[in-house]
Amino acid sequence: MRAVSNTFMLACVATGIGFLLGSLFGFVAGYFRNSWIDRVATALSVVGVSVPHYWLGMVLVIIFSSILMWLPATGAGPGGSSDWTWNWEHIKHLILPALTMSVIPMGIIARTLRALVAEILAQEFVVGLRAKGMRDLHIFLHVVKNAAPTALAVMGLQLGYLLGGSILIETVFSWPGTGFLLNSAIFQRDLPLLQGTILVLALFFVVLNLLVDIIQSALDPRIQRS
Amino acid sequence: MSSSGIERSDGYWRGVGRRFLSDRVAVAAAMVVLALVLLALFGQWMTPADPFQASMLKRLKPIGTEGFPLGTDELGRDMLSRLMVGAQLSLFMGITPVLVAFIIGSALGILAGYAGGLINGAIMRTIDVFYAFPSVLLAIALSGALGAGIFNALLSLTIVFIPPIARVAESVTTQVRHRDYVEAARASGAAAFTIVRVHVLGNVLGPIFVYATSLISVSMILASGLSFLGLGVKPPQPEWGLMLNTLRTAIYTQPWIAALPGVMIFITSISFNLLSDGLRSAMEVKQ
Repeated sequence: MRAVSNTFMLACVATGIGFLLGSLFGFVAGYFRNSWIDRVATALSVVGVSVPHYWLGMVLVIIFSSILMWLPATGAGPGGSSDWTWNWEHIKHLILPALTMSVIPMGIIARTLRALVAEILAQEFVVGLRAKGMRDLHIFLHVVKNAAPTALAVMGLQLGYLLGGSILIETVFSWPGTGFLLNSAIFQRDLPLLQGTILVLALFFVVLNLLVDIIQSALDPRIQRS
Repeated sequence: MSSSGIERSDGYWRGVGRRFLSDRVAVAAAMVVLALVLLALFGQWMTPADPFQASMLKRLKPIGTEGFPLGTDELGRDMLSRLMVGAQLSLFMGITPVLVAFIIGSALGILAGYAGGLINGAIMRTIDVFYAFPSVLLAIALSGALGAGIFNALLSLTIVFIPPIARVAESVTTQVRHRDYVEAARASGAAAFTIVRVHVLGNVLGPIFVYATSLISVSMILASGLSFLGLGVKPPQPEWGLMLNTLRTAIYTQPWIAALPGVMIFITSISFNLLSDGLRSAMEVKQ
């Protein structure tokens, strides 16, 4: 259970960072379509979806631990402890893995939102708002309101993917979570442990998907559940 | 071409080609992919040094050492040669699963989409089961249960990619099935197989193909990731993911050499991604 909570926290922080950056890039890119800002944001999101994250983790370790020596390279706490408490020593261990992990949801959310924002801006109500003299900032708020349910849904799904897909990043950073557990189960050929961990992760994934569906239809009454 | 006075419209594929060639990013990505494929095919005969020749004295030489332009790895083997030879296995491991999954997944999806009813239910609900697992977890769990090895890694990646491809194939086929020309073909007495071959296949393969190319980049990352965990290629075979794993111990002594194989994986996956984006907009496929 400790492994699950460690992974869950890492994935939540990573999704949070990824969601903030991703929606920033996505909204900006969609709003200023075809400007240089759009190109930079789009390039960043393509990099985000194509970078091998385990390699990115290694590069970050090289830069911040090996060369600059600012942040610890492995583990979840000082002295190899796996108990989490909210203090600076522990947060320092969280920064690199969370940043590495956040790259994937960032890229995907940015790409989704860019297309979505462009689609919303092309709708008639935006023209209507402009015609009645509304300021750009207010129009932007309307766009955000329309894009939010989809963005949240993508975020929820990504959280699920990160929970299950954290094994590579946890291996790079020796993060004491489920991925680490899976890795040791595979190499000791401990099949019951392997099955159990996968069952728990799959359960989390399915429950998350269900929650996303429920929340999405609660947020957006246009989506009817059959 | 309008010498006879009648404006002839260009064919669909000529339009696709023209749009693709006017997209500079996509063309550049296509060139990189082509270069990588050539490297994978012929790289093993162009290596400057023996990629398997280890030397205790020449371990972890820095980039730019005489005779070793990209340095040496943890056993003193030439990095440049190993990266070149590694291209073959890495690309093979990345592309094969998507290719096989493309064939099986499209077959299943088109069958489900065209047959509808009970067959559709049986195939699609079985495929839904695989959606209970995140793809990375499914790949690792399968190859972990099957044991390490190239074949097992390929098998588990193929299984991971069949469900998404089948889902896309099914939804496209279902749309096409209700078009008027399919109804017309059925009314004029064409057999189901003929309708699928003549009328359905040509209209659904494009979108499925574009979707499959977008999976290659994921597949590259996952395949190298499996080797990185020690579940794919076995040493001393050079493969980028495995090289990244064995060089992990050297990140404090020769950090940039340790990062090199990852650069190759990154370049490959981003090129495939951009190529797929270019194809998508050139073929006017909606997501």
